[in-house]
Amino acid sequence: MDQTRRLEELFDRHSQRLYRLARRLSATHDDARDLVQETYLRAAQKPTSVPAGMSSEEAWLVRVLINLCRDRWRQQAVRRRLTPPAFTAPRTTPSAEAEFIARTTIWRALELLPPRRRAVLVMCELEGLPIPSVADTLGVNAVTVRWHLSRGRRELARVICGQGSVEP
Amino acid sequence: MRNEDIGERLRTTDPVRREPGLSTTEIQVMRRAILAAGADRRHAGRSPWRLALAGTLAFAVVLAVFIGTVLAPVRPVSSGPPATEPRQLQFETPGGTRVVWVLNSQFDLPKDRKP
Repeated sequence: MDQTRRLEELFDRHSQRLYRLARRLSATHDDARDLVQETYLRAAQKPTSVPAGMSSEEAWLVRVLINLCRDRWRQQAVRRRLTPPAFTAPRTTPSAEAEFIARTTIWRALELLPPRRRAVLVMCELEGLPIPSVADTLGVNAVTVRWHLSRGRRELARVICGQGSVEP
Repeated sequence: MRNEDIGERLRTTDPVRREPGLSTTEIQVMRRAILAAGADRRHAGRSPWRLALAGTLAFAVVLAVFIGTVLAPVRPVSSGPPATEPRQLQFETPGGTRVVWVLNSQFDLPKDRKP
């Protein structure tokens, strides 16, 4: 098949789903858009490495996106080490502002999770995918997915309850 | 906090649900950029590939000619007549009769004369 046509098909089939995943893995809309674009640029650079088949190509794109996410997360982690964050989980209060802060706390905490753990949480909790499917997509064992899910939930709960920060 | 609470909190604050997502313009711009990158990569990758292919072919032709001219085995040249050509044997008897024998290798006796 013509490579341009293949790229077009890849984009048309998976860009929306990839954007949703990227948005849930990124802090902002712009970051998510850049991630999606970068993912497809990788596919454009190595079109032969994208496997054939709907689910296989989607899994490949998701893995590339998460790897890109991991690269960014590492860069941000270095920056965070150089400039310690002033992130503390607020206690919930009845006021509207406190409620808003409490709601956004979970996403700020999610940003601190390692990308793979974050991806597992997003896929399981928000996309509603079963664990074997997440394992297939990420190319890891189902046990690993369960471990990331359990640990991610525990870390988020700890941050939400104001008991500490996220461990990488 | 229970697992269900975490899932519920994530879902209620999901940015994908609150935001409009990629606009049509953004999708078009991204699509064009990706396809252009793919086309650039192919053009960039094509020329050296063709050059290498042409070089390999030229080398193969030169090599074939060299082998054909220099390393070709020398055929032995036979001075005698081919085996299929009839041979003659001529001699003269003391009485002066000249005898010519034609030795034909393909000669075969008729069936009724065969022993």
